Amino acid sequence: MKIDKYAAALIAVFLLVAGFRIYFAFQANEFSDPDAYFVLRQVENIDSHGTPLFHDSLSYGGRQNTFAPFYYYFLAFFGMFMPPYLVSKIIPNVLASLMVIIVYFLTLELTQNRKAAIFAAIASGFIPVFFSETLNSISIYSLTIPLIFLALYFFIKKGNHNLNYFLITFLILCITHASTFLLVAALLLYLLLCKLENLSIKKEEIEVVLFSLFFIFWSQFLIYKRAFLNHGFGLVWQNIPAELLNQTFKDFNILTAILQIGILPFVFGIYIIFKFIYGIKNKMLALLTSLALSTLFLMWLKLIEIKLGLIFLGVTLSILFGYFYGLFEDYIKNTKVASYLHIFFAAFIILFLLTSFYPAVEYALQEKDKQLDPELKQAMFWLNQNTDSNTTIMTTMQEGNLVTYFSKRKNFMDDNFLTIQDVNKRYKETDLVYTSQYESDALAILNKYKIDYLVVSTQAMERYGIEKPKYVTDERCFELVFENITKIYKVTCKLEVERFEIYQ
Amino acid sequence: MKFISRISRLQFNISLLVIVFIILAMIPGYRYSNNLPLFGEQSHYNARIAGQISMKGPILQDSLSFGGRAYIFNPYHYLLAMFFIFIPAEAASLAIPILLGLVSAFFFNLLLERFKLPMKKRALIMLSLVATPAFIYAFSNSDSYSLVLALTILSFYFFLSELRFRTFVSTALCLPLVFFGFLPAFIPLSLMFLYTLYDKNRLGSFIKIFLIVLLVGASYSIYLSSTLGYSAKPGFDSKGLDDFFSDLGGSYGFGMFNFLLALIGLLVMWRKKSKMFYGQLTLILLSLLFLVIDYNTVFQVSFFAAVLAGMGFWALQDRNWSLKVVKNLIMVLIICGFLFSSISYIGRISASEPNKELYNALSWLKENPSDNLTVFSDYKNGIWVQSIAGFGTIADSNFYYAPDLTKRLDDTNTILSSRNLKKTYDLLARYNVKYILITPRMKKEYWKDENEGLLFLFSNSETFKIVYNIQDVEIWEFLRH
Repeated sequence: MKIDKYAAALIAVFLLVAGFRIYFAFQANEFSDPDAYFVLRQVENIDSHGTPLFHDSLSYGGRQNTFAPFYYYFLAFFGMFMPPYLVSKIIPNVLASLMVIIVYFLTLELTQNRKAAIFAAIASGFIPVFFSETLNSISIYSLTIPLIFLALYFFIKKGNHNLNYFLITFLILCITHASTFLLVAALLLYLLLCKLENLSIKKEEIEVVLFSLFFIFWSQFLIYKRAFLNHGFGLVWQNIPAELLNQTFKDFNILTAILQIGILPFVFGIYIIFKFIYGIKNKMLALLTSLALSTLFLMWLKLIEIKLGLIFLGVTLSILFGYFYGLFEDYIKNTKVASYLHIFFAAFIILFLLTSFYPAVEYALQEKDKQLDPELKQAMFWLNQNTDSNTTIMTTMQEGNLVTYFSKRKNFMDDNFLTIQDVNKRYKETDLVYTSQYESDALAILNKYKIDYLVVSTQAMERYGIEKPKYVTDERCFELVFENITKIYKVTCKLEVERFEIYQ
Repeated sequence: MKFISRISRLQFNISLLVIVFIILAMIPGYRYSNNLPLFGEQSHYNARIAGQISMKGPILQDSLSFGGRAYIFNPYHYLLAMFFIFIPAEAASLAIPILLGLVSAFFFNLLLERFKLPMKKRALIMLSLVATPAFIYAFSNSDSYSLVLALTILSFYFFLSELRFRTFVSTALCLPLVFFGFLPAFIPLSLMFLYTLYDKNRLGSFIKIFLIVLLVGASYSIYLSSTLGYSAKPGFDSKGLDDFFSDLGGSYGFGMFNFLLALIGLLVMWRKKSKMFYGQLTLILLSLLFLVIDYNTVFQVSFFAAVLAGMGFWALQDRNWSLKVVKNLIMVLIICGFLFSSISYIGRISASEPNKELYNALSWLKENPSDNLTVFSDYKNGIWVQSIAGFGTIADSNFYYAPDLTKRLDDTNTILSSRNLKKTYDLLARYNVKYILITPRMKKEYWKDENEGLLFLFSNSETFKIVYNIQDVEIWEFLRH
């Protein structure tokens, strides 16, 4: 069977991107983000008990978890055929690589130009921010982002059967991640833009968007009911501690955006958006512009994380960049420099390599440095082997998931903040334990939460600028039980408050 | 919706009343069957005052609240008191709101009929209404707002009717609303005024009603301000956006699906621009303004919102859909959304305070003599302490014209947070405190551990003695020496 050259090119791009990703993922033995270990716990629990950990007896000493479970079930399915470690390294990267195929078909639908579609596919395969976020962290965005763009493809493609596929994809999205709200916002903005631009709106489109609106509200209220009751609208900010909130929803910066999306998609994608607003009437451009604008709007309002916003923008602008390339090629062909088209093509390739491919490689190399410190892992295993199952361990918030995964012990805090009432208090108390000058202050907190061990890792040392907490020199109360670069102290004292008789 | 067109008007009305009754009876029914007291604070406060009125006649002072305060007349108390003569207080407190709910729903349906809305549309509007948490709360709970709503609906209904004495009846129904505040009276007057823009024949009636209500209302306001002065409001009492949506933790308010459908109804109304469009638009804008000014107008606004939601629901149902599957899915989703929101809300409110542990503690307190003595607790427990235990409190959540409001709330906070025994002792003695009630909710809200504030001072056994400690509810006796 003769394969069309563009199909071959697409397969080659997909294999290149997937191979690239998997290669770099395996350069690190561990994962780069402690959240990956939360995902692993869910997958392993599904494999052994059939459900994820909706009640987690270890996180925060015991709590109810609230999340959409589809991604964990999806990974667990592959866990029936492969070890969890391989599933976690390979499957997310394969899913993220499928983005190139989806972008190809989206761009083809937009431009009817297969070369432009290939260009966009290549650009989308090496978006620096998407690359770094999904390479070695079992990120849920590996599935969510491709599904969202797949849904957009089915939405815009003609034919009622495609709308059925959209509905199915949308249903899956609703049980995968809450960022599906962004898709619904984009679709609503799309209808508005079409109305303003006098573009015809099909009845089916309105009906499907209406259904999406109702279903997203219903499904998310069902999944996050407890969290909505506890946090109200604040759920948007995921109950992140106030001191951490600014970092997560920091201000959007143009330079950051350019670096993390890539210069070519950024500049030429924005150019196409302007062309749409001031000239070109095209429904698919309206849809992509809606997605870009709603992402920007939500980022401006600090309702979505900067990294998630940049990923959406990156993919959208990559598709629009493909459209630009198609326009550019058509334009050049009608000029006197048509014979130099191959030079322009080479120039684009070089620019792309320098501004997108190279940063993506840089980010990939950095992932290896960000992986879990083997000394810390050893310390976690030590805790598993030398403490009883009811032990509570204090670490930095970022390391909380390592305690539950490797040590299989209770942690004091991790970064799964939903439905935790006293998250701000705990965050401050964690800082206080590591930075306090006074043993009594630290002991008061450690005793209150019945913490048995205090872990001082490299990350804690760097974060707090300490070699170890000052008070741990009191060996009567803090017994050093494990030492490599990471130190573990056993808390052996109880602070007694003299409840003396109070007189006037 | 085909079955709706086949039923008669009588069947429709009966079905409506049955459904309303079932929904409104769920919360009181659950609490009654689990031996739980009336839920919420206002139900207990209203029952206490109505009980006093039924035994001693009209009252001028409430000796238990804020150390003694002037009683602010409330017609709902007298309505309850009338029924207390014939049936037990608790039964009346359960039955009256449900009765008022049935009356409100029935007459609201008649109002919609007067506006020539077809039965199917009315069915959807009524469905939206009975699924609204504000409606469920108002009529499942012995709250004054059940009477406010009933009077609003009735006064407007009779204003539109063709009865010979409609002006008189409408005035008589509207007048009691001035005793609930400015907005509760203003809202039905706004409705009447907006209606007269389209039916000039009613203008004369409206002017009469307006003048009488204005005269009585103004006189009453002048009387209140001249005798009681200005009513302060604590800063923490302001409401956020979350409070307007029950699905986001609000005590009452709107469900998210009601809100979504109301938005669609608004869009439909905007596109259709019927002859009453500007009146409808004005009403919507006024409703938003009312909500900003006074959160409790959510009860009255919920009726307008139900009309919009019903219109939105109707627009979706009546639309010529290309994808029938999607249409059916959306209809199922909306029904499921209403059900989920309502059931979730009913479940949450059914389990709300006062719970059994608190009720038992307060019943234990009731066994002790209470002459001129006070129980100290968080202001949110104040009304229950007064109503169930029969003791006075330093503060409670009835802030309207409360004497020394700011000072008493500050003193309450001082007592809760101070570790200075002398300061706390002096304050407790000044307010003639005999007992201190500590609940698990207070421990979560005010103190991190036992070494903070009042909990720390409890270690002084010369001054504090624990006399009750069951299921985390503690009562301490304050020993004056």
